[in-house]
Amino acid sequence: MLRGEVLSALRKIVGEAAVIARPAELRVYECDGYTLKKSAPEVVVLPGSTAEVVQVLRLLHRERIAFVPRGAGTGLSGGCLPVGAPVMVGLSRMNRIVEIDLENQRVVVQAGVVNQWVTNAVKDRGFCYAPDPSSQLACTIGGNVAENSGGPHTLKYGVTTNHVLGVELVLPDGEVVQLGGLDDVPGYDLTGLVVGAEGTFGIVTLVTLRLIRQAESWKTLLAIFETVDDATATVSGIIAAGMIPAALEMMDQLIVAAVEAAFHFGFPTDAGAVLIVELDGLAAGLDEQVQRVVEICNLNHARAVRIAQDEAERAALWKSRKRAFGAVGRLAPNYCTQDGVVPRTKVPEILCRITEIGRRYQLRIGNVFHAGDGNIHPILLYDERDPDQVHRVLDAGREILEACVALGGSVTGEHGIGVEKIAQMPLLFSPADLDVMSHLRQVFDPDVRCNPGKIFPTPGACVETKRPHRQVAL
Amino acid sequence: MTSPPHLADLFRGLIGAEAVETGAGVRAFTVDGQLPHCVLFPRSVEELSTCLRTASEAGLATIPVGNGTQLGIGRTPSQYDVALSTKRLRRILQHEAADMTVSVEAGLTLAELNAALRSAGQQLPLDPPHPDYTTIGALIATDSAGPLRLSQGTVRDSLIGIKVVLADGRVITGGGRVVKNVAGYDMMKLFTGSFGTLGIVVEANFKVRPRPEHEAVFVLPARTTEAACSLARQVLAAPITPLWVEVLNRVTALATGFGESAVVAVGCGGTTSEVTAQQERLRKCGDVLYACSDAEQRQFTEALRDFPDSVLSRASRHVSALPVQDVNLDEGSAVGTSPISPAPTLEQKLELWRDIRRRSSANICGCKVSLLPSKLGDVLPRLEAEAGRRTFESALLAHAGAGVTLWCFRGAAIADGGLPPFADWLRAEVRAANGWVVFDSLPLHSKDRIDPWDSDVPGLGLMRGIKQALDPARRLSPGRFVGDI
Repeated sequence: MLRGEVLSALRKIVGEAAVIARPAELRVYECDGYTLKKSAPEVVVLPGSTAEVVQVLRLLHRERIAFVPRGAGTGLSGGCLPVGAPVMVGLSRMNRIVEIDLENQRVVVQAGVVNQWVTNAVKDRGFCYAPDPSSQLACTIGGNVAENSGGPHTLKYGVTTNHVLGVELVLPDGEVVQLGGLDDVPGYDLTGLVVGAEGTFGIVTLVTLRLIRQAESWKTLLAIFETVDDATATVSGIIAAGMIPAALEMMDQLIVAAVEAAFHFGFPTDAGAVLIVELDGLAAGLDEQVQRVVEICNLNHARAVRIAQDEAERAALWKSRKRAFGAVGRLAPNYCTQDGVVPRTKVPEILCRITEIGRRYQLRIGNVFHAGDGNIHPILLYDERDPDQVHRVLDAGREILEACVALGGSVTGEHGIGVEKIAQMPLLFSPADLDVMSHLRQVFDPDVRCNPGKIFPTPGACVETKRPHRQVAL
Repeated sequence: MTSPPHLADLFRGLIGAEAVETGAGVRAFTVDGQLPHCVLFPRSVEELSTCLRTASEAGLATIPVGNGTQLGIGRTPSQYDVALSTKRLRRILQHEAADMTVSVEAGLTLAELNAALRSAGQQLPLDPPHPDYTTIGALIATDSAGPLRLSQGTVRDSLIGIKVVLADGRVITGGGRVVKNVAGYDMMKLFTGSFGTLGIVVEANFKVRPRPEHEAVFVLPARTTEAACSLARQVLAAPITPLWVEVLNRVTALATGFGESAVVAVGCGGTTSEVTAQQERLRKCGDVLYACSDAEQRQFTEALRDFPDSVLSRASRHVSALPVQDVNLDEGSAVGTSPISPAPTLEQKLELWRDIRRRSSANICGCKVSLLPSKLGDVLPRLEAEAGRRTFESALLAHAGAGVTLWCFRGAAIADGGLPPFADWLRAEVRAANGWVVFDSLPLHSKDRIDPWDSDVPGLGLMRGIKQALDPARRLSPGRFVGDI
């Protein structure tokens, strides 16, 4: 239990209104998008500047109090779940775009800036910020940096780490370091190490992002297939033809039906699978590429290939895709999504395995995923009121991830380990690998006070192993 | 510590006499005048791990090497006993073309890897100097990049998994074989550009890309370096998607055959219609001098890639600056030799390269300047002017989109003690513009007076902590990196 003096010291630093300590209000902060585990912090502090973050962390350092950083709380692996950390440091007030430097194709933003705001701020002048996680209307850049977030358009343009040029990091003892900023800064690539460290190295307060020029031209195709196999064969065909589409996304029948019911885009609900293929680049040559993609689709028995006729239709298509998770809410009271990755060529195999696992555990499983990257998102439907179903969901989810690893893949492509997949870390990493990683963490955070209980299956991390209650959600 | 003869015996017992070099071959691995006692060529990761563990336990300092071409970079080692080469680890472990990933051992050269990928129409899109000698391990350890970084990024953007042997012999892995993966810390970033101070990379997994169907090189002349920088800004803002955009000053342009004045060189790729469309749009930026023939294009692209050696070795007759040797590395012999002479072996090419480096080492200095791209036009002409005032002649190649400039200068004043004051001036000037200078090629006589790295790099305390965590006894490349790491 935090002492009263600590609370008043925090209030003094950030102001009365920026400290949340009433239990009813704290419930908002008891989980992120991974709702299997819940645990409210004792207090949430919302600093308004780097200087305030520094003061807060210095205080916590003096008092030896653990803390957890939080952006918008849209994470999907429990990355900002308080585990033995009484203080949560929320970055939502630090939401200013500090500098827009189009000449050098970069922006400097505070960590609490929402992903979509960055593109909104520069799109009129022909630029955009490429990583586009499905939660981009809400998720923050700070959270994206912590998780190394992806999104549909990362197939061609890369994930968050490929677009972060530098960060301002407040270490757990309150020291501020400015990392990166330019290409080829001498020394180890600490910026690269901080991105994807899931907030275990300190609190990122300021981020320099690379902007890309919007493609001159784009074409978005919707290809409809009778079977998932035909759709995956098409994905392989496109890659084999030497093309890198901006995005290459697949939804299977279960998901298409849910999305259609929610958004009425006009998807055929009897199709086995649909592919969304987006091609972009110079106007010259784009039609050639579209033609080749259409041919490959037809070669693989596409029922139909539709091309979005205008920006509105393209936007509607992407809205359907990005809100697919939400639409699934119509199918069952609860659902749990996985984030495994397999080599592209193993997609058909992993989908077979998922079907088989679903059958064995008597669960309905839908698939919506980044087919071009091999990053799958099976969605397991269930009803939390049936404890047996909850158990089956957990066991099936674990089997799916094990299958991904067995096929040469990974347990997470973009959601992070968080608390959710700690148990799967040994599938990928040896004790020596994990030992080195935890030593690295201690270089930044010697007392393991910054976001403890994440990533590492260490005995000291006090991870709760109790069975889930409540809802398993997106 | 074990005395030298016994020391070699120690390793002969582990990996066989044939894999331990103690003779003349050791010279190729000289670092700042220091010779290792022996060079080890293990044939497997297990052998390499055993060698490194044994060396570390015996209190020896090891420098990881490939073909030994990048050993001039960095501070003088505080101790150097063993060169441990990955050269014999040269298998392609897996290439699944449809996955667009490849897994290789660290001793394979980039040229060998790309030759293998070519059959699938793919490439690892990195163009550091001398792919013929650059091993994958060296590529990662030195974070080498070239003009292509504009469109394809650098090592950090392609590397998706690694296997590393630590100083204590432990073998660890990071990442994996899939293109998207956020499990665990990004160890690839840590080891990229770590210059052999944290571990020895023995295997690497990359994502690869399709080769463009067509490539074309366009040259836009400019009157001065400053004008070329401003023209490059225009090209970068034009509605094209160039593979690379380089600024060459007059000396570089002359020596590489690009022109008689400063120029902007632009590489474009794609389908024929994409390349043609870009050429049309380039014309709106300025005169496009010529779209070269295939042979010329290859020659120009390689000259830019191999800067500054291309300038040092191929300085043409009418250039007064930098006429170091009339040697053509690609032909492997003195200029004028019939082109039908047999292709040189890797060893012959390496020996020539070393010869050029050796003969030019006393009066040549090379550095890399990092700036915000928009500052090139302001800073570079000032640097050139000051170099000229001090009677240095300089060749310059700027990766205009990245803001990274390779700069090589020479003059009698370098050998006469003129380098340290100029280096101080240069560093202060670039720091004042919020940039960084790394001296990647310093004459030996100035090495104790000029820090190749900047000493006030942010996060240095953390970097030292990382070194302490991974190599607490300082057995790997001790003292070579920033802040004496």
